[in-house]
Amino acid sequence: MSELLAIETSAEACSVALHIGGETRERFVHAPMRHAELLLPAVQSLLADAGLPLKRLEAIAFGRGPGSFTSLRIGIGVVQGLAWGADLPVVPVSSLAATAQQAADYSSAEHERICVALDARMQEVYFCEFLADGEGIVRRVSEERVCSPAAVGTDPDQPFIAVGNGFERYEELQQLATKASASCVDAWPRAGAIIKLALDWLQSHDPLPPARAQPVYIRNNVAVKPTAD
Amino acid sequence: MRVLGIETSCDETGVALYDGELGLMAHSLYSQAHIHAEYGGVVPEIASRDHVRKLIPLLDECLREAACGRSDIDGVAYTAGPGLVGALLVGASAGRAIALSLNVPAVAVHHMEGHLLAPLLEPNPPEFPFVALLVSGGHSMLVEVAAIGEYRVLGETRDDAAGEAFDKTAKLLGLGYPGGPALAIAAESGDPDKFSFPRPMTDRPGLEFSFSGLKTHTRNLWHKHSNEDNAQADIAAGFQKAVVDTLVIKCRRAMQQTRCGHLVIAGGVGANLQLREALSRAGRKYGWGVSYPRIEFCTDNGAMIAFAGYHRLLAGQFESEVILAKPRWPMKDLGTLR
Repeated sequence: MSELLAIETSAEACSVALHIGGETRERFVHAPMRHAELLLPAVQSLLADAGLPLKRLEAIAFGRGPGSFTSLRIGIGVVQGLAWGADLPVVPVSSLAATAQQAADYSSAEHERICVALDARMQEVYFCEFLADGEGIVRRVSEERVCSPAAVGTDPDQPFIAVGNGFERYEELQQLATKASASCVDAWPRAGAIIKLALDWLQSHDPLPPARAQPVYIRNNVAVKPTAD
Repeated sequence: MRVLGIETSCDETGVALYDGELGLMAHSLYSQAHIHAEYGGVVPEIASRDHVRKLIPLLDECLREAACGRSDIDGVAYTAGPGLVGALLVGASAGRAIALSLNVPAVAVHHMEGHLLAPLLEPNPPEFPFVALLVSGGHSMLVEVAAIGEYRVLGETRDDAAGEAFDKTAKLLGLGYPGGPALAIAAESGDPDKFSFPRPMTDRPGLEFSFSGLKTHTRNLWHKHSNEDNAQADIAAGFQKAVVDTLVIKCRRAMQQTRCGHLVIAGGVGANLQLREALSRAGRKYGWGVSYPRIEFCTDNGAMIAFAGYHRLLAGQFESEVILAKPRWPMKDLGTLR
């Protein structure tokens, strides 16, 4: 039985989960700007309560983003440090997929798109659409992107579930959410969902070396080069 | 005790291993300066992104160079500040987590303490007490070092750091960014006395610095004379001489005030050869010893952090599992070793 640790810090929540003996234990707290303070004590206590040394893990899974740059890098810095120190491989999981997975876990409707919109600030959202497969695992059916709320371009006439705070924070998406068959605006990416997606990923992939614990930002235009005078 | 040091406070990723008996075992450094050069200055978000990419390869390289395993590491030291918060958090998160995974203590190191102690990594380290002139792109200060952990800031800059003044002046003169070294090369073919430059803050007592007025003066000169033959070199030479003279005057005052017998130069501007020569001359004239870390340890590096962390860990200091990043961390808040 594979034992996995998962860390997810890409948004306002800080969560850690441990998969041990076929069950998943999770610590989750909504605590914006407090990842640096809360993350390692949570890892420490979760492992201690399970009586499991880090070295006995098969791999460390992590939410690779997109999300808030700084909190994302705190989680990934910790994953790099733990994985390098204990010589463990890593498993990257999309933070948008982890958000969608929670909706899939609660909703039984098949063939219903799960639209995830997480606030990316600067009047934009991180957006992606998913469908749950026969095993209940979400599969991406569109590109992950960062765009204005008006540009998400999802078809409101096909049944969908609206997931994430983007559907609450932007007027265009609030209106779109009124057409959704269900909505869950307070869902955050969580480490428990990272575990589920990582276990699925490991069925067809080998885990990666620690240096591959890297963020996926989507938003990459972060600075402008000065033009020649 | 063997300590892993990690530095990510600005645009250099540094990793090193320091051993109490063997000394510095290995150090690895990656400088992002060429990336930021395209933007005319350090872009914090780009710096943070690059630290995340480079840290693990540097850790691997450092262990290989030291021919040692992870299990031989007895403690981890990481730069907790001052610096760019996003950049600091990369090294702090990974460093603190490495300590947890190896079940060894971790200590948060003050970046300036690293610079102050860098000369002690050399074969003939200065004896305490000494005065340190710390001049870099981010800092200009004079500090009295009574012992490891006992520092008294004698004076700081009120505006631009000395290295910042060099870089901004180089940019103004069309020498690129970061332009400190390019300015020094341009100055070689210039006449430092062609134009007159002020020696800021030297006409009054005290050990404070200010370089923004000198920068403005230089800009005005350049706008007036940029079409003249050799103006770039002459202005570069005059500017450099003004900064060097000012630093020498302040150092002499600090030495008189503290009655210390030894001056140490640290920080990136410490690599400037004119400054090194002028301070060595002053040392011979007034009877102080003068020492510098090797040039690669003048700029940011992991070795100085491993070394400072080693001494703090040896004194029994360590941090809880909280990841510490303090973008502003006054030196006076730094605890002693006792």
